[in-house]
Amino acid sequence: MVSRPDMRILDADLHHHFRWSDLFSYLPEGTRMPYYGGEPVPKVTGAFREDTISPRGGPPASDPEFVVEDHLNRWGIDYAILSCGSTLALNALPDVDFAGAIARAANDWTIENWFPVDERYLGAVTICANNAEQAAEEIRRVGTNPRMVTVVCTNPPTLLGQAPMHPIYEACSDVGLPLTLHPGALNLFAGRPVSGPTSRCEYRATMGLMGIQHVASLLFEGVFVRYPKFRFVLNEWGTAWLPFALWRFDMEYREHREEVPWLTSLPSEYVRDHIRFTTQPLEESGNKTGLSSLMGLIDGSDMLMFSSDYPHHDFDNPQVAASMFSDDARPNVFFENARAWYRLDERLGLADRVMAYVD
Amino acid sequence: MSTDDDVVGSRPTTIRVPKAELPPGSRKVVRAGRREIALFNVRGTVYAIFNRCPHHQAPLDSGPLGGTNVPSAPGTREYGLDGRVLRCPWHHYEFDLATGRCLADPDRLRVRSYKVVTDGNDLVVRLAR
Repeated sequence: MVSRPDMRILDADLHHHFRWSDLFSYLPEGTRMPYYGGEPVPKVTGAFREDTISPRGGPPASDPEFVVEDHLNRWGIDYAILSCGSTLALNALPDVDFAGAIARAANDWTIENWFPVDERYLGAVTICANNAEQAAEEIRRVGTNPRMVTVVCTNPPTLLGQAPMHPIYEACSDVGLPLTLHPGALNLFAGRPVSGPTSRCEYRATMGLMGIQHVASLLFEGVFVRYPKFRFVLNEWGTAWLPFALWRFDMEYREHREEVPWLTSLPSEYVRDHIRFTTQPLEESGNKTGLSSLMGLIDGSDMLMFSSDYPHHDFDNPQVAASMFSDDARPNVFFENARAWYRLDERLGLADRVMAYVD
Repeated sequence: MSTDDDVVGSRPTTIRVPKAELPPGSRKVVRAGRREIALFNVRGTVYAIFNRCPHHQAPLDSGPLGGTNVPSAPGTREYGLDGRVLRCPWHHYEFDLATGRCLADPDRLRVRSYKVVTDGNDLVVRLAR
C-alpha cells in the first residue's frame, strides 16, 4: 500500500458514471432516453431494426450469411452495395491518420469477409474525406476491385464543390467510380447555415436541405466541368425535393450566369448527366401516385436508384417502394439505372450473364 | 423617324430612323404599330430588338449594356462580348444583342432581334422575318 502523505486533499475532478437504466428512475416519464456523446440529439428509439440481429449475435447486419437470408433472399435482391455502417461517422474522428487506417481496414475486411460469401454483394470504398490525398490513395488502392462499384463519403469537411475535395474527384474519375455522399455523424452539419436541429425528427425532416446544398455546390463550383468523367450519387437525402431544386438551380443560373461562367448548359442538365439519387426514405405523399406524378414533372425516375437502408429502422420495403412507381419507371428505378450508373456490365461481365439467361 | 413606308396589310415591314437620332453610345425606342423596338448604337454598330423581355415582359431599353464573363475554366474569369450584352433591368438576364439569345439558355430563351441596314442618312430596321 502506498503510504499516504500527511496532508489533507481535495480532488477537484473525479468522473463517475451511471448506467442509463439507473438514471431512468430519476428522469420524468417521456425523457427516459439515452443521450450518446457522439450524437447531438437524444434517441427515443434506436437506429436499427430490432429484427436484423443474427441468431449468432453481434451488431445488426454483421453476419454476412444471415444478411443473405434475411435480406437478399427474402426480397429477391440481385445485387446489394455494402456501404459500411460502422464507418459512417469516420469523419467525426479528429485524427485523420487514424480514421484513414480504419477506412483501409474496413475495405480489406469487407473484401475478405463479405465478397466471398455471396456474389450479390458489391462494395463501396470507405474513405475519410478529411484528408483528401489519403482518401484518393485509398480509392486508387481498392477502387480497381471489380466488385467495388462506388466510393462512399460522409461529413465532408467543406461543401462538396470546394477545393479540399477535388483530389477525391480526380481519383474517382481515374478509377471510373462514382462518389456517394451518405449522411454521417449527426453532429457535423456541413452545409447548415445556422445552428443545428434539436431533435432527430427535425434533423431528418430537413435533410433534403443539406442534400440540395451539396449538389448546388458541386454544380456551381464547376466540379463537373473540371472533372467531366466524375459521377456522383446522393444517397439517403430524399428525392421529392428534386423538382424544386432543379427548377430553382436553372432559374438562378439564368439570372446569375455571369458569376459561374464555366457552366455552359443549364444546371439541371449537369445533374442529369452526372448525378443519381437513391430512393430511401421515399417521401410519403399519402397516395400511391403522388411521388410518381411529381417525378413525371422532371423525368425524375431516370435519376433514381432503389435503396433499402437495411438494417436501419427507416428501411424501405422494396415491395412497398415498388408500388409507388409506374410500370414503366419501376424496372429503371429498381435495377436498370443502377446497372448503368455503377457500370455493372463492364465491371462484372453482367451483359454476358444476362445474355446467357436469355439463351 | 418615319415608319410604315413599306406596309403589308396593316403591319409595317420596316422602320426608318435618321442616323443623327442614334449617335454611337445612344439608345432609342421606336414604335411599329403596337410593337416597341429598342435600338442601340454600340460604337457604330446598330442593334435592334423587340423591347420586351421574354421572361417577365420587362421593357429592355433601360437595361444596362456592357460585356460579361464568357465561358472559362472553373475558378477563372474571362471578360468578353464587350458592349454586346444587354441585361434586362428586372432579373438581369443577359441577352446577346447580335442574336437576341439569352446567354444562360440560348436555345429556349430569346428576344426577337431585327436586321438593321443603312440607306443614305437613314437606318432601316427590317421587321419582317
